[in-house]
Amino acid sequence: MTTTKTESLSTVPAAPTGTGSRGTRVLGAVALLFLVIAVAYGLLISPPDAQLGNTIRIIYMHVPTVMAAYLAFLITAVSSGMYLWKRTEFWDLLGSSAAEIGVLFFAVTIVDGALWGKVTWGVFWRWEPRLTTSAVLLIMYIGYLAVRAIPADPKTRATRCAIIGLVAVVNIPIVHKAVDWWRGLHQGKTVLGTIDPEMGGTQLFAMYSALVAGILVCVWLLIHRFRAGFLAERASDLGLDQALEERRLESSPAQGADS
Amino acid sequence: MSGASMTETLCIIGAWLVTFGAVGAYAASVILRGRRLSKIVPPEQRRWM
Amino acid sequence: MTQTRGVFGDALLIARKDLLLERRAKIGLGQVIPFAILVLLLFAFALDPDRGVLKQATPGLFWVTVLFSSVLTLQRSFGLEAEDGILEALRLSGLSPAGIYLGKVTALTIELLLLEAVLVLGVAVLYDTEFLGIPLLLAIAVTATLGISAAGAVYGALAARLRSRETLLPLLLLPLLAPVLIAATRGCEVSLQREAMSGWPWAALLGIFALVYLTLGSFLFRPLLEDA
Repeated sequence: MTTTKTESLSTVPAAPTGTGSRGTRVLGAVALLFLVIAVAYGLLISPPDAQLGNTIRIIYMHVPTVMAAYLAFLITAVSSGMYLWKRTEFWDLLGSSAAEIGVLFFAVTIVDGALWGKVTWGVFWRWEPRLTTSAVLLIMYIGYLAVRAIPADPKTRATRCAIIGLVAVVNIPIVHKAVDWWRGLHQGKTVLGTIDPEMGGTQLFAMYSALVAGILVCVWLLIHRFRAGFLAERASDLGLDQALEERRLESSPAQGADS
Repeated sequence: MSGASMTETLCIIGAWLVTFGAVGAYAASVILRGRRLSKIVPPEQRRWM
Repeated sequence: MTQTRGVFGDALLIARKDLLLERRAKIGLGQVIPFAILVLLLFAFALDPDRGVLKQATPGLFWVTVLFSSVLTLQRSFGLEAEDGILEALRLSGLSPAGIYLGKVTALTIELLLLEAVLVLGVAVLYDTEFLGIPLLLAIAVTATLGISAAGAVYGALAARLRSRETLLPLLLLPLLAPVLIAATRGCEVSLQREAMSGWPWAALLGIFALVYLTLGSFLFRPLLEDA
């Protein structure tokens, strides 16, 4: 496979030594800037909320992570549909990368929500609609990653994952509705997961800068994860090529003896 | 009162630490994985479409 | 016109085949139903029957039992085909994938409804349940079961060819069915007059769930049979 001809071709542009590029470095820097602003305003500058007190500072983390998670799951769903249509590695890798990032952000969201509950209600968990929905959806997408982790032919694995990605995403609004109705019987609306319109200027600024930071970090992670996934595929192709090569070398004398 | 505000402070700091810690650790693992894989994959295949 | 008749004709064929197999092998009747009754007994052991917990929780316990039994039924229904390579044969048979899917769903729905009928008897005898609001109960049973089968057939077929299917199918399917459990349980509680509100919105939600997954499954079964 690898000959001197391909080597000479590759020397023209320098091959990257990692998943970074100029684009991701710029994006990362902007994300970092927003993160610094979010820390400054969210933790230090903005005043406590009239109703929520200082617990609003947990909401500054909770809302961006949940938004980033939903963005990631949306990307997974679109990629799943596109994969079944176009059947290209790009959509498969994008979808699975986004699912992994979505699970990460959802897990963080739930921990943040539980900590908010500890302060507000005195217990980590109440069957608050948003938290309950998140828990169900988190486990649903852990299932996606579990199937993804099963070694299989890339095309087979991609199809399986695309199907799960589509089946899972249409459940999101249904779970929302069911949990809302269910909890609606027992308690009123809660603040978790919504942006209160009565927030003051610096509070809104803290919230929106955290939100922008969350989205940017999500996209930045997605690019890196996509590239790492692409490299992993090439590495496993390589392993397969090598194994085939070895098998051929092993079996060729035996074949010769047979014939 | 001081116990309650103690819990509050701990939970707020905890939430921010968990968020930054988890996302940071994941980012580091992805970037390190990318670097490790880049050493294995031949340069002409190190192109992401 | 011929296209749609083809799909439903195929569905009928598959459903008949599945039900015939089931009647001959009697795994559903012979193993899943006793398991479901056993679960009802286990709940009674876990929740002291004398304190009224059991009676209060009956709709929830009933539907949890149905969910677990449905996982077993699905594993049975698709495990057989994966083992004997029948899924491959079906794919090559020229039957339309949507037809195969709808046939599977039909057979599963009928099997699960039978199971539920037995469970209702079990609940009536063991938990001393009085049944009120029969039309709503029936509507909920039918829509919920259709939803379970519609979503279950997709994941059942997908998991059947994986080596870790015994653990993967519940992990994939049960969170997906969480809204079904919520809606069916609440709907039954309304019907048994444990909660004062209208139960029909729950039945509607279950109907929407079933419809959404029936549509999606009909489209997804082609790639599922061909590539997954």
